[in-house]
Amino acid sequence: MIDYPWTSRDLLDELEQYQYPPFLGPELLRSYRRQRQGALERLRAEIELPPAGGSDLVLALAVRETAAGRVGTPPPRSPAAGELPADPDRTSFVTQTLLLGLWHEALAGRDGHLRDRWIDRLRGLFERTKRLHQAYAERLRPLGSADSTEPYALLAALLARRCPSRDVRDLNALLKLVDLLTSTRRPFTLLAAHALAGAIEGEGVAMSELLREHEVPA
Amino acid sequence: MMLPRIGLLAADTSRTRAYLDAFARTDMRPSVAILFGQPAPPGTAVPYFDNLTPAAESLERLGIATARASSPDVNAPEIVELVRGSAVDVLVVSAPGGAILRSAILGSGKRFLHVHAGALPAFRGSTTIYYSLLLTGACSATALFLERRIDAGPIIAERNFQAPRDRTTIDHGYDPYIRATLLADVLRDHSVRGSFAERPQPADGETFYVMHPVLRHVVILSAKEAAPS
Repeated sequence: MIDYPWTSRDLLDELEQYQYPPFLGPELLRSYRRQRQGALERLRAEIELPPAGGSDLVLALAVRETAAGRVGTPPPRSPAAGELPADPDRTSFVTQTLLLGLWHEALAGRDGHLRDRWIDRLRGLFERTKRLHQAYAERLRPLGSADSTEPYALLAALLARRCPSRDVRDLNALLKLVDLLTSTRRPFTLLAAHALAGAIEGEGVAMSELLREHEVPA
Repeated sequence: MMLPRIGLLAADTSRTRAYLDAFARTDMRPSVAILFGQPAPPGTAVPYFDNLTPAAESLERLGIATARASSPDVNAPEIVELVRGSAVDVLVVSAPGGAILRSAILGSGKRFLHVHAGALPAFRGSTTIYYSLLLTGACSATALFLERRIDAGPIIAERNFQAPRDRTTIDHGYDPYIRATLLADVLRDHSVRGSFAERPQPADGETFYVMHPVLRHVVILSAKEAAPS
């Protein structure tokens, strides 16, 4: 039995580049599953999730909206989020605000094409640097720290919601985001915890589909 | 046969050893080489090429005049200077995985021939041999000239390959082997024509980032056969 190797150190302290990993055989897939199951169980204990399939990011977002004096179903667009900026290439943005805006758009079922372009752009940004900074100036120049868990968790949950089994690039980024989030000792907000739980559940479903499709023994 | 306009810019990696093995087998070889970084350890034996002989030893055996640079960074000023001063027009590049040629070296007045392990423009980026196996069940290699945008320069040649029987040695075996096989084709063609048959690449395409180890394991352990083409 081996321990899953890619969460043994805090990936917010030390970048993981995933270059030339060793081949560890089918046991690697079993260790991956154990690691994710353990992480989900710890989260469930901490945020009192229902036993299975119950992570409720929508509820968590609504709680946040309620706390800010805004209630509604679907959760209203956060005024701070405003409209999604039209051009991901020529916009400066606050990462957290943008991600919340993307969530509101997703939950309201609006702006699918633009939302997907923004998620693609954030996915590429994370893949290139393995970091999501507090904010970005034009041309994606990073500003501020990259230590907050919430942006990583919100992006992971957005990718999980997009059915990552349909696009392996989503699943690839999702695996790395969940590695980072389950390796770090940084604190989690309630929203980040719900988002991470949803991300782990979505990743698990996508991985099961992929293993079945490629006839890899479970 | 020495190719007077063509050189090699390489670190001692499995890919470089595959290229040198192909030069020896086809008797098509660059006239000069710039070998950078430290000599690699012997490497693992693979069925496709000699992965045991150090690059410096193979270069000497092939009679290729070699300049050495100690920096492991392909963009280091000492390497840029050696490139500028080399007497060839085109350098075949075999840098370590993940290395990207920056503007100083790309602006040195030389052209850089790279063999990418994937079809272009469909599979740009990193670890594309694994993505190609996962999504199509087969592999491809594409020879191209490097430009600032990654894997977007003019295409010289491309070739499809079957999936390897043993997927556990892709990184240091089959991936370098398919690149070297196409490179040998390209150099043979160049020796006949006296030029490279290049064509621009469509701007659209997909960029992939280094594949997560769990997905790599799915590719390696997959029992699914490629659909007949």
